[in-house]
This record gives sequence, C-alpha cells and structure tokens, in this order.
Amino acid sequence: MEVKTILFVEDSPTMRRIIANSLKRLGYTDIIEAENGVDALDKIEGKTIDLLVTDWNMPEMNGADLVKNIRAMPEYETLPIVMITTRGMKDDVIKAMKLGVNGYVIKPFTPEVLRTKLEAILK
Amino acid sequence: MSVSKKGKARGKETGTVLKTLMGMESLFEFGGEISPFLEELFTFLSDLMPILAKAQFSLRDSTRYMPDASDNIASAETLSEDATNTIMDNLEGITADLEALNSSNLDAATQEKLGTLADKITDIQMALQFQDITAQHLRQAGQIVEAIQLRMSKLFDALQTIGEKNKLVKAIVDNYAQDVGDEDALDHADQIRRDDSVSQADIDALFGN
Repeated sequence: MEVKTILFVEDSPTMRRIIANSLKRLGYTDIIEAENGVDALDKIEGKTIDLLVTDWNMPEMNGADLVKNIRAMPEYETLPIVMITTRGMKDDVIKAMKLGVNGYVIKPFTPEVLRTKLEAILK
Repeated sequence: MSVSKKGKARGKETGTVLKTLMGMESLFEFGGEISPFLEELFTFLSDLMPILAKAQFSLRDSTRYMPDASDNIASAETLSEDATNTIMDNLEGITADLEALNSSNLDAATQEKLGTLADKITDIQMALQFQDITAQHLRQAGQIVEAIQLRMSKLFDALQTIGEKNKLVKAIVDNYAQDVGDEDALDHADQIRRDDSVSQADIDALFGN
C-alpha cells in the first residue's frame, strides 16, 4: 500500500521530534503533525490521510478517543493505524485492538521496530 | 359524657401510659446492655484524642512541604525537557551537516564513516525517548503527591473542627502544642527543608557581576 500522507499525533515535543525524524528516515516525508486528538481532527479537515500514527496518553483528546472518531468516519474505516505508547498492559493492547488499531508499539522503541510494524500493516 | 364512656376513656389513657412505661423499660434494658459498650467507646475516644492531636501536628508539618514536592517534580520535568530539546537541536544540526557532506563527492571510506556517524546520531536521538517516559512517570508521581496533599488537608481540617467543637479535644490539642512547641527546633528543621534556591542571575545580582 502506498502511503502519501501520515497523520502523526503526539503531545510530547521531544517524542514528536524523535518519531517524526524516524518516519522521515523511513521515507515518509509528508507528515501532518498534531499535539492531541482535537488538534489532529482539526488538521485533517479537508485533507486525505493514508496512515495514522498516534500516542495514547494526551490531553484534550487521547489516542483511544481519536481512533474512535477516525474509525467513525466512513472514509477511514480501513485506514491503517499504529499506536506508539508507554501503555504496555495487556488490557490496553486489547482495548486498542478492539478500537481498530492495526499496530501497537511500546515506548521506548527502536527505528527497526517501527519499520517492521509499518511494513507489516501496510502490506 | 356517661360513666361508662368516661371509664372507657380512662382505660384507654392507662393503656397508653402502660405502653409508654413498657417502652421506657425496654429502653432502659437496651441502655443497660449498651452501657458497657459506651464506656468502652468513651475510653477508646479518650485514648484516641492524644493520638489525633499528635497526628494533627504531624499533618500540619507535612502538608506544609507538599506543594514544594509537587513543584519540584514539575520543575524536574521542565528541566529535562529543555535539556533534551537542546540535545535534539544539536543532533538535527549535525545530521543536516552530515547529509550536506555526504552529498558532495567523497570517497567510499569517508562516506561509510559518515554513515556510521549518522547511525550513532540516530541511536542518541532514540535514547532521548527516556525524557518523555520519565516525564510521564514524574507527572504520575506529582498527581499522587497532590492527591495525598488534598486528603491530608481534609483530615487536618477535620481534626481542627473536632478541636473547635469539643472542649476535651481542644484541651488535649492545646496541651500537646505546649509540649511540642519548641519553636527553635521547628525553625531549624524548617531551614533545612526549605527550598531557598536562587537563579544564577540572582546570585550575579548579589555579587554585582
């Protein structure tokens, strides 16, 4: 699957830079960055995204609620979604799966883990 | 009213009085049963009051430092974020320089060396994830400190209210205050624990340089 535009949502400025740099190194250059779910929904209005990469714990609207909102949009029913988070409990992972998340990466992660995960869900 | 009617009315009144007396009797019986319990409860409360008074003073002392602890946690988060951003700025600058160098005509060995350096920079950047993770842990610790502070304040207020309403408690609390009221010792402890940190600018201003 060809990915043109990535919506990337992360509240920590440091993590935003680290993940954005990682995505760029993997060849994804068209990245819409947002600080939280509300900001993300604002920024994608009138645009088309091909992949969502989101954190879970964020103010205003967290990643789980963002995924719910995105999945409720008919055009994004099958959008590939990757969650990158510190939440490593089994219940969290199951909840994410039920919400429709396709890939789940625990922080801290390596570029290799991110690459493998993206390749797997974009096949 | 006829005699028989009066008699019936008196009989009804007597019945009511008897019922009341029986009720009172059963109340006394109940009172008798719970009397030992009440005595025990009173003894327990008398024993508890000095402990509560001690708790009140300990709480007053502890809650005074809670806001500092909470602020220090928030400050640690900001400091680590600022430091990480500085490192990130420099790493991104170095990466841009390396890419510029690599685009010029270089021999294979140098290109390989530059590639290795770029990988090392990536490793450093990835290691900086610790900042976000520790910041989240610090935030959670801060929230716990604030929650404890809130509950301790409520407990402290409740103890004060008991002291205001109950003369016995007030007397015990006041008495305890005299016992522990060594102001010099408290001031000394206060100085040790107080965060009197000043900025470099403040120090420079003090030294006039």
